[in-house]
Amino acid sequence: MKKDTPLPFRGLAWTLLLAGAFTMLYPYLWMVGASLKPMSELNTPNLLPKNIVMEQYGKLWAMVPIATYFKNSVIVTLSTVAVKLILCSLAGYAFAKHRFPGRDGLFLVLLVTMMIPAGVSIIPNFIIMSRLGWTNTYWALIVPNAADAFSIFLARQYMLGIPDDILEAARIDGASETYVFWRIVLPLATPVLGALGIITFLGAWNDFFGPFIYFNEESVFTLPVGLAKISVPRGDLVQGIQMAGSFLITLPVVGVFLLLQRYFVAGMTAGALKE
Amino acid sequence: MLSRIATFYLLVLALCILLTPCRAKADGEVVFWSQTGMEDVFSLYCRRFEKLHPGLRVRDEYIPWGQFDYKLLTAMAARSGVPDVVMADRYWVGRILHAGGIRYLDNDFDEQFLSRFLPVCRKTFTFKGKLFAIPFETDYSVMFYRRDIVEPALTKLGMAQFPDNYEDFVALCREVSVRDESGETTRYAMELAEDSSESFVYHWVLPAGGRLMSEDYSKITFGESPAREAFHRYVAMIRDYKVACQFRGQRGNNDIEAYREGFFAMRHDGIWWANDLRITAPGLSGRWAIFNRNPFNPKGKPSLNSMGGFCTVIPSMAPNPQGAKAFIKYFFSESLLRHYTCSVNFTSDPASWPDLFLDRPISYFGGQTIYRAYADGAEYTTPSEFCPRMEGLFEILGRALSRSCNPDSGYTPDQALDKAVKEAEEMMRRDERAGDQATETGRMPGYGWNYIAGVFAFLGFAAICVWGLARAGIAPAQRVWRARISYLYVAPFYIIFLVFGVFTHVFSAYLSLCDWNGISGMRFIGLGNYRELLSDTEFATSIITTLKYTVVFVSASTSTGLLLAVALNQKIPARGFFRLFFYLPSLTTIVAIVFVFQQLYNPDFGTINQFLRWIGVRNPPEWLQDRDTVLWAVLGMTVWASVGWSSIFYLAGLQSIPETLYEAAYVDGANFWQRFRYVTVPMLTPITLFVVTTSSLGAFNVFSEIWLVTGGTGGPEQAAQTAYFYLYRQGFVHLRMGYASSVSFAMFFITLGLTLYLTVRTIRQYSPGKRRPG
Repeated sequence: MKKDTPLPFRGLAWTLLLAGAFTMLYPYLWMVGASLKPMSELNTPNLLPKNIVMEQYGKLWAMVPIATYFKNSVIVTLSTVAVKLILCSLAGYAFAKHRFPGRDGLFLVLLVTMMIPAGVSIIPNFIIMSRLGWTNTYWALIVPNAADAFSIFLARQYMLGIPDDILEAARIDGASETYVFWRIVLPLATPVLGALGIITFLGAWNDFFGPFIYFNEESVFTLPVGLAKISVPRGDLVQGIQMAGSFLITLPVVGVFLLLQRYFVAGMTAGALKE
Repeated sequence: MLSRIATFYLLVLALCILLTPCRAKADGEVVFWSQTGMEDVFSLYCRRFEKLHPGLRVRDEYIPWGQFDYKLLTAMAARSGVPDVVMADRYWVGRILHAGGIRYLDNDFDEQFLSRFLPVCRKTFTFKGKLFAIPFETDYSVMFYRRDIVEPALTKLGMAQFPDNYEDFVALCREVSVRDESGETTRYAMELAEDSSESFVYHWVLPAGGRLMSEDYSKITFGESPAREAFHRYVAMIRDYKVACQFRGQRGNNDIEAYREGFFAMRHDGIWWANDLRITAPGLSGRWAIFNRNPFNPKGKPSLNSMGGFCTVIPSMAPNPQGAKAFIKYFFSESLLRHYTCSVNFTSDPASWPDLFLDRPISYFGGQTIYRAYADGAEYTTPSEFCPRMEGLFEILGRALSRSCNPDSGYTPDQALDKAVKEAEEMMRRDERAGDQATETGRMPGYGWNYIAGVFAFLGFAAICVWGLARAGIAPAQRVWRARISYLYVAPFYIIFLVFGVFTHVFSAYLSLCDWNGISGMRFIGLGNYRELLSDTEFATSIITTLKYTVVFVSASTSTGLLLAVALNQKIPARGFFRLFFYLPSLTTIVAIVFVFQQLYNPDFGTINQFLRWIGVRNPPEWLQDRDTVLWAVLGMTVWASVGWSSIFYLAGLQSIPETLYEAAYVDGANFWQRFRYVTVPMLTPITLFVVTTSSLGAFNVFSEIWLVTGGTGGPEQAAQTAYFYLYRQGFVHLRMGYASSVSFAMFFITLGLTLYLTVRTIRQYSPGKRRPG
């Protein structure tokens, strides 16, 4: 198909791609443009401001405790990624390479719950959090996300592919189970852990619903929900500040993506192709 | 071996315990909630209180107006962050009162203290003979009018003073409002909203002697006599006489602009608006006056206003009620009340209204002593009403008002009101009225669900293992011991999974058989919720909306993704760039996407409508503000966000199709299109399956996008309400957690049914014996 695609098709492909890229990019251009507009130019249809000012960012900094939100986001995201990686690598390895009574049963239960939609559990989750006293703490975000079926499925799937011979050889040489896990399995599992880490990072950084449900105190808000709850005094326009905040919240993620593009794609497609 | 991993766990556990945040001690702190806009005055008072009471700290927080009840109820349901003293508007108090969330104050404050307040204020905050709030402010509405517009009209009509009854008032309005040659109104007499029922109830129904519900809150009464006539009078102003309308951004972003320009000549609002007016429209000095009676009642009836205003309550779950009492006693000291009256608004203690202040002529109002007028008018007020579910009733009445005022709706005002009464009765039937459940100590009943969850998790884990053991058979105990390290590896993940992934589902099932408002006790009602669900039209609509949304979303997103992937798969240089651009929306938080699209979808300034106008569309749709287009607007946004994601999958899939297949097809004489149909599409089947399944699951569970883009309402008339959104509203807005759980299970069964049906169909299509995919 690639060899002799007729020219009209290639032209069509290019047009499609350029149109697609433009459609994808335009909102971001708007975001940046609006964040650089002075207050008087908000709510106008121009993409680019006539005067470029940093007024919106200044207002954002003054009105919204962005630093607190940023700190909370960072703590929650890094903790979630760390906890999930640890838990999933341990359990994934055990499900893949160990044989123990009940292993298949436990995994079956896991698979079955994958089919149940998330909506069923938000209210009980909320109740448990409130009874545990975890509302308005970071635990409410870290713990429930630490053990989801999809991640363990991915981890196990990948680890199944680690050749048993290596592990056997190590064991024969006298390595303890812990050694086998830390020094052999984990390094070999870096691709899937990298992919999982990135998926989790994305999910935790951009998560709106979790903090929205569990948090009602401003001091623990993460960036997404802090951004959503910006309120301004009567008569003021909030759009510019929203754009400035949106841009700032997107920047770190785009940066991480540019650095780690390979792992992103690998992580996403790992789930689909290995089906 | 065992010890290594066990040590590791113990270390982690120790770290967790160390890192668990400590809660601030409750005793030395009083948490005080008020509204945004009051920061300057109230923080001053709070700091003074701290000076007078060393050892007590005040943590004052200021909450946006519309979010009060939600925040308070959520905090109470979450058992966390409940304030000690709350000072805010009457609007939400009824709901919290009837949920059992407010402490009765008769025992906390003595008669000498309470007798200082205006009787009408005290009566407003008394329920079944018990006081639940201390009235802080008085707030009734006076009529502000533009002298340069209204006085000539009064002269022309031969009225000596501003009318105090409806008939004369309508005559004035008709004289004042102006239309140009094309029939467009260039001046309305006053601003009235066609769908905001709050002012309708407070300014038209209550003053006429009508009530939303009967005194004992057992019957809906807003369809009955004085209220029904008030409804007709209100609607006539908008629909028949066309002297009033809703402010919709005409003449500027700010409604004060509209008054400044004379687009509206009169406004009925609290006396505090005088300050707003003075500050924002100083150029109109001398051109305004106020009238302190209510002109909306018919001739012959007393022209009363309804009295409202800020009040102070102590939530029943307040962590520090003693501190709360001390704080309130300080707040209601003479000097503080006097300071408040002179700088913000009249308090409910007449002794704190200094004569010097009352009798001062205000030049902005043409020398009128507006504050004396206000003080005199306070005599002619009636108490407000506090029914449960006020918010729900306001919503229902709002719909009735907009149906009556919209000539295309097909409803006459009487029909709209009757329908509203029916809706309200249905709502009340469904409601559990917690009634008089506020307790003195504020401890609400609640089961230790966290302990139950823990026990469940432990037992569950053990049970599954035992089951596996039973299947294993030979020397099971030995096998368990030898595999002990495996269990340690799996345990942390699995225990958390059992608690938050399995127990929650089981709990949800139990909850769906109960009735619970998150604050007071749970009540087991068997299948009652499900029975109600069957006749719930709003739920049925939401399911249809969800299905509509899912079908369009999945088909648009996958087909566009495939298209883009195919295009990208041609030998295109800079493929990495395109990939980045397409994937960008998946990297962005939904909040940012929504904010941008809210601006792009703006009917007046947004790029989308600008583009439509540019290509010649004359009346581009209103997108997010129009009931019919809001779902499409949301779809446009979410499809945009997901196209890149699905195209990446398809690209990976396309690249994994071996060249040899294409070559073979080429050799067989197939052209480009045939190669696509018979090689590409079938080889992509697993990817397609995956993308379709994942998108469908995602579409079914869409929530944040809708909440954010519609500002929490679910769209005009909840047109964009999916089932999940309905679940959220029932559980977290109306606090019917049992009912919401049953909604979630109904959704689950529907999803299950659909999945099974589709799977069976797909299996049948692809079963051996059929050569080509259907």
